[in-house]
Amino acid sequence: MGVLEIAKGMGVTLGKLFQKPVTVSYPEQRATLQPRFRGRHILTRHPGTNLEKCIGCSLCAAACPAYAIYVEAAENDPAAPVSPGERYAKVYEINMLRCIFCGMCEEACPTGAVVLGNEFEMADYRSRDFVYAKEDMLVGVTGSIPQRREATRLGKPVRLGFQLDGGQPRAELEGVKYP
Amino acid sequence: MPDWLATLLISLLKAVLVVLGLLTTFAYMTLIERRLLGRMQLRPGPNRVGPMGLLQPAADAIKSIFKEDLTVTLADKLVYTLAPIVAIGMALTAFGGLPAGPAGSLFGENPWVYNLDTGILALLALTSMGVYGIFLGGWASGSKYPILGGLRSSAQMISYELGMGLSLLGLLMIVGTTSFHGIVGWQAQNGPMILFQSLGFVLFLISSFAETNRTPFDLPEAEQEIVAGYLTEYSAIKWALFQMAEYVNMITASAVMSTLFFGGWKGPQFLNALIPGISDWPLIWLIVKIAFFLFLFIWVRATLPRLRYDQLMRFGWKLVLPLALANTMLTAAFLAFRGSGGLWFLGVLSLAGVLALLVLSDRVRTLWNQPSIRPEGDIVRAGGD
Amino acid sequence: MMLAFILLGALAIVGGVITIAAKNAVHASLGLVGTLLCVAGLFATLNASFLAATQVIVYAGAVMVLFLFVIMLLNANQPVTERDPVPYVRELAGIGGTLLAGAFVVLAFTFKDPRPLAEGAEALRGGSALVMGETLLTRFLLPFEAVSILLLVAIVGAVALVQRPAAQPDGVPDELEEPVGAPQEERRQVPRGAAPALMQTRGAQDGEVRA
Repeated sequence: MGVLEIAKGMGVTLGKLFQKPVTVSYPEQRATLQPRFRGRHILTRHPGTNLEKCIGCSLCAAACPAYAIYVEAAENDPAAPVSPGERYAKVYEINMLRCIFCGMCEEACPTGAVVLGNEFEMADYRSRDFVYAKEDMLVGVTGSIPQRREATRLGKPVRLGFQLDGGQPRAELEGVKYP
Repeated sequence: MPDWLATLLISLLKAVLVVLGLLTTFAYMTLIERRLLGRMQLRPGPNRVGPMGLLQPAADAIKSIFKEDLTVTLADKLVYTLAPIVAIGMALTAFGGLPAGPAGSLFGENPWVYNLDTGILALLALTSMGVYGIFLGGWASGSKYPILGGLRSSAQMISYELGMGLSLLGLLMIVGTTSFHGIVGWQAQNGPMILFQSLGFVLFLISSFAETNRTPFDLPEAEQEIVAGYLTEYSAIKWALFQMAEYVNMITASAVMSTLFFGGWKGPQFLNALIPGISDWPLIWLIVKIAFFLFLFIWVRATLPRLRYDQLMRFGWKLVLPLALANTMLTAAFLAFRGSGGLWFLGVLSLAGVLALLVLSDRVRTLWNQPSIRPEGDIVRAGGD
Repeated sequence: MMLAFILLGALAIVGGVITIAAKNAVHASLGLVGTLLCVAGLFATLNASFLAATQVIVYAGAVMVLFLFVIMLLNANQPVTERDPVPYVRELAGIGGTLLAGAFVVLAFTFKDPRPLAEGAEALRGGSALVMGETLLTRFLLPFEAVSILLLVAIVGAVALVQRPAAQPDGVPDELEEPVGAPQEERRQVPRGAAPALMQTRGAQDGEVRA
């Protein structure tokens, strides 16, 4: 009975009318992301020594299909090393407008220094503000450039618009904490 | 003040009130529809403008008024402007003849704008004029998708107008008058018409979905095939006028269904025992019934996908029209040969017809849903369906 | 009521003039729609509300939409600029119009009521559907049925006209088989049903074209 199926469909839509919507009012409420969501990059540090994992090898830049990464390496000062290896990244920039968040840099990195985090709220006004430098991505920096700018202007802490399903970022993101 | 001037002014005032009421209902219908569709799709729907999104219609109105009013170079300027006015004018005029309460119940005035003996005929006439808005709009846009959309929508509306008119014939034969007051009065005495004409009501419901261009018959606006149909080249307030016409037609169709099949402005009689005279309160019952049908329109839109164009035409010509004719014949035969039999027997017959239709719905589907692939070697000739 | 009658009558005439004078066929038919609506209004002012509604439903709502359909489908909305295809069409139309006007004048001066107007008005009682139906199905039953048979004949005729010719034994309908560019004389000489011969003719012609 073809009409019966139509009636069933009508029943389904009517039932859904009284269900709680699955979408959330995003900016006010936090969106729920899966931990594997690939967002803005994080440059991690060795947990014990607090040295940067990045050794400036530029393999990430070579692997990047969008040519979004620029790395300039320099010799470590043995007295005050930045990274445990011979060299470290003096300049490490990622152009977020070019980045396609494919995660190839993370796969190419021999030391696990560059890891894709979960932040995604990076909308800004000027294209030069989309070039994220080392100090914008090192672990411990919360929020994107526009979010931090807004936070300083208002004098409030950065508020991230998401939460993780399960609450914990994945293991590669050492020392990263999300709400 | 002379008497005729007072009557004229009161009529004008009532007309203005009806127009305002209809347009406000239209504005909030858009919001309610979007909210309900949202909830049925498990999302909240528009809730940003004002508390709970209640100012969304105001924002939409401001936007469509102040948007740039584009006119296409190839458009026929006069007809291009005339088309939306015709559409909304006919839609608004059609509503005025429907009674919303007993005579003299609205501050001593009659709760209708005009009262014609030929009420239902006049309403059909006005809605049939509504085709011109769509048709001329499509033609005057001077571009291809609008003309295709205009052609197919007017073909659709003409086809279903027949089924719509015929499905009412049985009702008119039983009641014996074409005026809305007569029909409402008859139902107050004998019970709502849906009991005796369920088949006619089902056909009328389907046709009115097609007449108002709503899903599953919203072919004129089939985005995938013809962009937005006749609306493609329209923008700003002219577009809004077309949209208004669609929604006002929907409200009118709901009001007609309530008036013809569900007792019109009269409430259920048994409530009189609780609160005396409640079934005679003006406006309220009609509004409740209209609201129910409007919800039905939205509900169906949330559920059913769109028919293909050839399916739509076959459905109209091969199913709705013959069934409406059969309903007419059935009612006529019953009235001619019933002798002293009560009307309830007709109701049973009609209900049996609806049930048979439901049971056979898979069989009759081949009427409009035949596969159009022909066997190889069979020559495909131009034209057809 | 009198004022409305005069106004509607004048508008009906304006619509008629637009119908004749408009260069664009769509504008012309819109003028006609206006005229038909005004005539419906005239009926309404004369208390013939059933007639008014029927006029709008049938003529303005259905017939004129079909007119517009044809105009749009055939793209006939271009203004006509060539000379009249029928010779002396203006002169003939002028003569016809004059004769018609003369007939109307004669009619107007010799018109006699079949029965007094008051009695007729009484019989029609406001022209509702009930009275109309009664009159049509009792007193005018024969003409009414004759007209309906006429319409039926017209429908059957229309269906018969658009019926496609039956396929020939080789499966190709007649008109598709017509050799492209073949002189009419030659086609007539070929007996009907001689499809292989026709195919040969066409093949030979194709060869000529290729050469």
